[in-house]
Amino acid sequence: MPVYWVREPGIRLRPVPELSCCLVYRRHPPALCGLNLTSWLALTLCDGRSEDEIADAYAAAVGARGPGTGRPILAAALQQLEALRLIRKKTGERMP
Amino acid sequence: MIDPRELLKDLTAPAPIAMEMATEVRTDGGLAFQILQAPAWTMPNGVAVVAQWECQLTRDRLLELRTFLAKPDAGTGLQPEAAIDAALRSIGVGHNLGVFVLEGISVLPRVRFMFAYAPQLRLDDRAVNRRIYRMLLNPAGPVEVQAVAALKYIRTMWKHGVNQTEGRWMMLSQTDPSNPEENPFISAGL
Repeated sequence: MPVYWVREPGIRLRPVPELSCCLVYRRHPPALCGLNLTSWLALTLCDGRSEDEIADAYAAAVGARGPGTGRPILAAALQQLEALRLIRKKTGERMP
Repeated sequence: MIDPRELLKDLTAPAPIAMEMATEVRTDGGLAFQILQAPAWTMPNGVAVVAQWECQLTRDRLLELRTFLAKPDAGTGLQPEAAIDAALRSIGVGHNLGVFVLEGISVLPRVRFMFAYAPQLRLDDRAVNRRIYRMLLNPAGPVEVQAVAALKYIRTMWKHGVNQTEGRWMMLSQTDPSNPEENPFISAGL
């Protein structure tokens, strides 16, 4: 069964590019979250892609330099976002 | 919508960080910039002087402070700020304006503890200080006992913070910068 990641419905993104971060408002339960650049990137990639597809796009964006690179780092980022209830896994047929 | 990939073209990718941000300290949640209706006891009626303690706290300390401020006392039923407010009013020196936080993602949160000195009677600052001092040493009744404990807690929190400052702010309309008895340096043109 294919597994892919989607953002939780109702979250609102407020990019703060001058600080290289993004504020995210979560409606249920209400909270304001702060994401740095790579977590923000990971969140935007959770648009129905599989984890492999996200990893490819993530690697293309971050390149090979810096502490934010690598598949385990991405997996940790997705875990953080899932724990904050900003994204969730879906299984089954992908919506077009 | 701004794409983070554009920003990453010029930057080294940092390790991902995503965290829930602590919000205004007297509530359980909501946006940090949401305007909430103030409880009646925080209304700054007749404010003459604002006393302010300010410091920066780590996130852990901030959450600890928030938990403390949100929890009512089992005996009085009052939250700490409400107890401080009631005690300051009962000794006739003013009231509590509250604890405020300015939070950023990459900097230590800055916290302000603010009190209003607005004596019911005509008291000079020494008399105000003596009344507060007496209460700190000999609180009368359960509300003052709670207030003194709360004041000790937040004062200790402030002392262990970073970049502490302390001051008393007077409304400009209630002071006269040209009066040599109040402001000798400004009056002397220095």
